[in-house]
Amino acid sequence: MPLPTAAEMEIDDSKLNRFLFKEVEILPLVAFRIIFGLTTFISSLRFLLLGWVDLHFVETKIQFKYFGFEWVPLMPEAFMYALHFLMLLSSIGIFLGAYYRIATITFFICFTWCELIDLTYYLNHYYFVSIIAFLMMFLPANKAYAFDAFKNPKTTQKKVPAFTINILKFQLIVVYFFAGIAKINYDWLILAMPLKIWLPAHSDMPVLGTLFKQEITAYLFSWVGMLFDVFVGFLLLFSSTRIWAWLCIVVFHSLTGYLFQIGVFPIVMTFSTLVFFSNNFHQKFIFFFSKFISFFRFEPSVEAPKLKTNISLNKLALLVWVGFHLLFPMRYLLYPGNHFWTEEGYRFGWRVMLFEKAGTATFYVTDANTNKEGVVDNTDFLNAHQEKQMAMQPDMILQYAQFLKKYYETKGLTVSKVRAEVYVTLNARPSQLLINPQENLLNFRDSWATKTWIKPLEN
Amino acid sequence: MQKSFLLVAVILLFSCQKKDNNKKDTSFNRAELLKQAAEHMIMPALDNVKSSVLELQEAITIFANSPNVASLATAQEKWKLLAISWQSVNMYNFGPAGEMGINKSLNEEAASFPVNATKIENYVLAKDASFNNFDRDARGLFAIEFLLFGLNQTPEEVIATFNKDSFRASYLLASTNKLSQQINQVQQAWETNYSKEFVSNAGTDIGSSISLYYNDFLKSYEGLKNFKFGIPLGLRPGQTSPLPQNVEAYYSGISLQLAKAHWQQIKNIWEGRGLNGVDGIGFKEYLESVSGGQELIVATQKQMAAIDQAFAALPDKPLSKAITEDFEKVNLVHTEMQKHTRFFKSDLSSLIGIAITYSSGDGD
Repeated sequence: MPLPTAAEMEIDDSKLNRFLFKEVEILPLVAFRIIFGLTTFISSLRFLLLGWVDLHFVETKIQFKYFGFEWVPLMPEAFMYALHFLMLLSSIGIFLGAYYRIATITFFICFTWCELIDLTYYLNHYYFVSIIAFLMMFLPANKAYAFDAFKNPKTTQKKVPAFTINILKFQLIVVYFFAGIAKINYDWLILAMPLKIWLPAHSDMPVLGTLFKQEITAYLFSWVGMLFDVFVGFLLLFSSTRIWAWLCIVVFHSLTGYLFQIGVFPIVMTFSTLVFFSNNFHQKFIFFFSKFISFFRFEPSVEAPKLKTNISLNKLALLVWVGFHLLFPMRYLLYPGNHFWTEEGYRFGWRVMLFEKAGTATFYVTDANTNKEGVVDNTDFLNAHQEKQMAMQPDMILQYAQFLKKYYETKGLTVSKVRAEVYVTLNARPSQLLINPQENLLNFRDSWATKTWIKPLEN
Repeated sequence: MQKSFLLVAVILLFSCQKKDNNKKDTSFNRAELLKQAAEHMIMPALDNVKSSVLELQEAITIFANSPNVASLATAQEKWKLLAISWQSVNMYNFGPAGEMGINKSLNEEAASFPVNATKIENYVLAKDASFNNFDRDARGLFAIEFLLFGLNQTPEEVIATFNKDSFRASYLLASTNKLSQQINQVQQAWETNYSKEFVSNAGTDIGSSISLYYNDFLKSYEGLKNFKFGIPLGLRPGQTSPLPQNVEAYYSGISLQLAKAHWQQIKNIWEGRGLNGVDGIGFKEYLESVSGGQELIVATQKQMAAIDQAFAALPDKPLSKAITEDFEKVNLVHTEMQKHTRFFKSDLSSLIGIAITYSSGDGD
């Protein structure tokens, strides 16, 4: 194949440049800012009202750390509450476009800090919010229909480079698409697992309950769910399919939100995907809010100066960002074995609600002084949620072993061995050993390398 | 594409609904399980405990008025009956028996063990029977036991302690009255309206009756394993020797009967067997209706039989004695129960899809 000529490359390049840097209306970006501000406000408020600051950060005796983020500290109660109030405040700032840069940076730091404290509370949608908050710090979403623009009319902009909106669309498509391809597996499609467990569990619900009792419903939901996730992001791109795709999103998220204990995620996704809609829609959307917030109505009289964009720097940043978000979720392919079982490369990959899994982990601690082995009662150290998560995830099992060693050494023991008998059931299979129960867990450290001490999943 | 796909989906949904009636129906009527639990297990057991505690109250009132060998023997006998019937209610610590404000659950409030003899003696000395404190190890079922049986004391010696300090009888009576009042409150609540609420809340989410019932069933199983065997056997890390005095009902010496009754009730709950002995709808029947359930039933029953055997092999003496004299036999019960844990703990809840924590799951 002949190499492209310099001129051809030039054209390609300018095509790409046009795609990324073409001036487009700021409206979708502003609408997204409003939605993000509102949903994070609701999410933060809900967290506070449910008493989860206490539950997650005050009443816990141990925190499981994120690999590479062990340095993120848990702070005293008052500080943790302060972080959450700051989150509330900054989400209002984002919503109003007020002190936007400070608000987005504050929100990103507070939110991500709280998320990084305890791995057992990891949720894909928290990761999603962190990512979006990070992007928002750089996006000019306060340049119109915002308090900042009203206060400082000179900075007002009606147009922004297209990438500032497209990057958000990219991020949303990534979520759906990866969630979709993760569902293409034997258990999900052929066994209709875990829906075959989860749907009958909701057979008491009005109207739909009767359907959930039927096995065929689990199959139907599995296949529809897979196809929905794989395609819906792309269908949002085209004006002819957009409204139908979004209605599917509404139905889908309403149903899952109604059925499963998944918090605010359905709301976040349902409204975030409005960013795909037309300028016309967003005009009306913003107009609606301007009824209550007068400065959203403010239109600059002078044509604002063009935003300076450093094309090559932005291109590089985008390349790195997009590359990371396409490749990082795929890293599980580098590990041997069933990643539903080993969970190696499982997190940060938009694998959501894919399996029903639970474990019973019994830890044995040997005191070198007496050479006596004792059985640990996990409820002495972990809350129900932490124990549930730890008992099926190998990296947490290692951390807990290290914790037990430290704890019992403060009690005067010389801990020479911590081993664990961990039985895990995956999608209604009879429970089986996750790791070798004789292995001394103190000999291992978590790393990117594959965990050879995990036993392979049988059948 | 999306439109036509949805259309296909809807058609599929309805066409399958008709012809699917003869296919495997995964339905299980949770309300039936809850009804069996409420009507044939929980409420009759609460009735039993209520009448037992009334009889104990009566016997202790008589004993307090005239402490003698006969009145003590009656009180001791009534105490034993109550302690045994308690094993059929110790696991229902939700609803009216749940934690409320500063109060812990019914079982923690009423039947914490081991009790702290020193604390009890101090309250008696201080003539303080107000129970305005958090010393749950100085009141309740097993504080009453300590006062009635004493540590290796003959009936005469027990009576002597009451004659020495008249407030001892007041403390005993006050403890019994408080226990009676706690039991009454829960029993009343079940009878008046909670049983209806319990049966009608038939979902599987956190806070649903099945989730409460299952979680406390599991907690009770773990309690039997850890507190009635594990700790007295000295099996915790750092425990260098057994703690036989930490068994349940150490002073009366009926720890073995209580442990057996407790284990029997755990089995009854799994099977759905009522207090009348009739096997109704329980977790076992629930498992019959779900994927992988049959295999779990077989595994569960096999291990239950092993636990039964271990219990049967225990010598007929208080566990505190058996721990010192036949350690391995007692240890075997714990070992078999430990092996069994996963069948109750993760396998059962996973297969039937019960929520066990409040935290949000990963959304989709």
